[in-house]
Amino acid sequence: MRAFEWCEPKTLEEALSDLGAKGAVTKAGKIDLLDRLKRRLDAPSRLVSLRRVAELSGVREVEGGGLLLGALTTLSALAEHPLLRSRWPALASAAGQAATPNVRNAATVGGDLLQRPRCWYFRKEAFVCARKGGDSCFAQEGRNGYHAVLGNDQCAMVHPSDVAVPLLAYRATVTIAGPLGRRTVPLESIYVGPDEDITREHRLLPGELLVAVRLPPPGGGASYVKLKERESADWPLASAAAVLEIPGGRCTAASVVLGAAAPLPFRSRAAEAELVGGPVDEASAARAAKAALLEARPLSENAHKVQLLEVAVRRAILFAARAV
Amino acid sequence: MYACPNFLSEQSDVFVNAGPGSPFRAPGEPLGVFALEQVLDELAERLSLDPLELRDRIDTREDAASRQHRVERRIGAERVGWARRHAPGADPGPLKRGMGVAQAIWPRIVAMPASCEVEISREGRVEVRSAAQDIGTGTRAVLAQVVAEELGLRPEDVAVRIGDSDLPPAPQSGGSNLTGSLTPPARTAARQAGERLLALAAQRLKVEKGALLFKGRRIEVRGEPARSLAFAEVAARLGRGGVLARADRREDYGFAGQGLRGAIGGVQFAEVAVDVETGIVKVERVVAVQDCGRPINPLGLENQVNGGILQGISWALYEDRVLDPGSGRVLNPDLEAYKLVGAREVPRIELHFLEEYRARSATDAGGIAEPSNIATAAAIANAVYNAIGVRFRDLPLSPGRVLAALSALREGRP
Repeated sequence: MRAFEWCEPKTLEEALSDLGAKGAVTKAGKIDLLDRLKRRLDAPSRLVSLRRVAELSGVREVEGGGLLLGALTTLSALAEHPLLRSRWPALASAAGQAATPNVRNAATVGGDLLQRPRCWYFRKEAFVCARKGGDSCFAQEGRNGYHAVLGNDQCAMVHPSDVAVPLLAYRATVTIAGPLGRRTVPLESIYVGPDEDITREHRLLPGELLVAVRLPPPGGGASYVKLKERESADWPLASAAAVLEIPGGRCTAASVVLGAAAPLPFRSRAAEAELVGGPVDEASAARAAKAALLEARPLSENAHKVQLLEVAVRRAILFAARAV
Repeated sequence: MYACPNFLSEQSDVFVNAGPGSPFRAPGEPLGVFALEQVLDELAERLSLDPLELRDRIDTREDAASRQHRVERRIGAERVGWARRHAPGADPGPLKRGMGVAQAIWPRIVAMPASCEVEISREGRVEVRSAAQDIGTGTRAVLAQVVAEELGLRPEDVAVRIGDSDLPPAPQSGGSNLTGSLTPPARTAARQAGERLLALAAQRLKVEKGALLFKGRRIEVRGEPARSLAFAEVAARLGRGGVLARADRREDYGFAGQGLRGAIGGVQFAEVAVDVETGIVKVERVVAVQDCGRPINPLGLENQVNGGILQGISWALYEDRVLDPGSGRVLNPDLEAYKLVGAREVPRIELHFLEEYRARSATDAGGIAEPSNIATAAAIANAVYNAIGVRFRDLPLSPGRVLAALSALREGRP
């Protein structure tokens, strides 16, 4: 591991100033960061610990019924927060199913949203894949049982964030601070697909910081379904979140988001279109699930993921409809 | 394992440009039993026989394991509720439940040289010594227990020194041999050292040595508990060097030269639930009926069998070394991607021990670490077949593999 400088800013302004240096990297819960350092994927010259920046912590209600989550809010805190459990249960569920209790106690919502890929080719120093500046995606011809079935032609990583899936479904926004000031944008808009820029997963620039996540007031019913090989600490084989408004038996608004499906947390407008305007039942849920996977192009070893994702989407829709 | 004159089996290894990969508990056996015990289930189905009845008919060898298996099948069937077993796929809805059985055999290995020494000092300190290693299987505990029992002490009164090649030689900690190999010489050495104390006590109490026994940290006259001396009081009369006795393991009485030495058996029953929409298999319950001669430490025994079953579940459902085909590199050399059974995958485990005494050695003990692990994956595979009607020749039974097999079944592909 290369030697690095350690900074512990106490305010957001200090943090942004510390991050201005070349080679500076933020340290939040250090779950992803430590792994990257150990595997020599990153060699920062400066680590900026965010632990003492008070503004980044805490969960508070905002006017109009929404919720503001400081970027350092741990996954445990999300999973256990009474307001989240009662009003945004899909998020509490996703946070509570991520990794292990010890990891959830350290991992932060900001870090979870911005973590780097878990693809085993990406994580191994020996494979210089396109995302690391090489010229190919090793998963295409290699071992790809856990890889993407949607949008996978250039890079077959699946986006690793558990909480991004329900956050997208709840139409969360994020506040980003940087040298040029602050902006608040839809969470969905910060993610970058391989076709746009294969070397990055999100739009934050060096020196910028994700400060907070804002949840709008929940409308209707929501659910999150995570299918995994093991109940103990596992990444999803397939996951889905659905948020549905069904006043008077007809669906008027739908959010359907797939996880472990594509290089991005994947919002399926095709699935949403199948639901809006009609009743939500077994038949429409199955149609929506089919629509979500219509463009799926499985690789040599992950055909089963198409079915698993369909099941996750269908179950998430039906659970959300029941929760309305 | 079976009395079958027409039996052909072949096992082959495939060499690749990568490190070797194979199970490490009962090497080779879970694999062979995974194949054999599924074939027997298929045969039973063809013959319209209950799998247990087929085994009753062909598991008829004249050896210990066969006799044990017969009892173990009966006990296990009662405990698990074998009568509840239904035809494959009978459950309505996507969650299909099934029940399966498999049995195992493991040689009762006695490895030599296996030697122990026991020293009793003038201060009354008792120490048992051997070069053996305790690899977490309770070797220290069983040595202390056996010596303590022989000398009328508590296990905590006995110091155990092991793990040093200066000490009397002992076999490797493998083959589930150590308890069966080492506890007899430990007992014999304790007995021999104890004889000196008995002789000293006999002089003081003015009785024949044979009239004395060790009991409750004392030496007392048999039938006259009032006439006794404290263990420490007698030890104080030893010479300056105390007493040291050493014993070596001998062949088992009456079993020398027999390949299976009255082998260890074991029968396991598994109940599983398979979600046919997701291919996710869950083991809900395992009933294990095991034997290993005379159990020395029941808690350690349960611990070993629980561990054997969990490791069997881990192989059956999760463990898979993923090699990159282009480079031969292992892609999942970490506990994040190489999946092991975890706390949430632990099923209800019910254990029953068949205590089997035949006076083969000073302790009659056998081993259990490997025998407890052999049948689990096969029992799970048979239960999965009973749940969904699909036979698996490969492990792990991952969701991808299960879904692929189910879709092949629907489309009538082999």
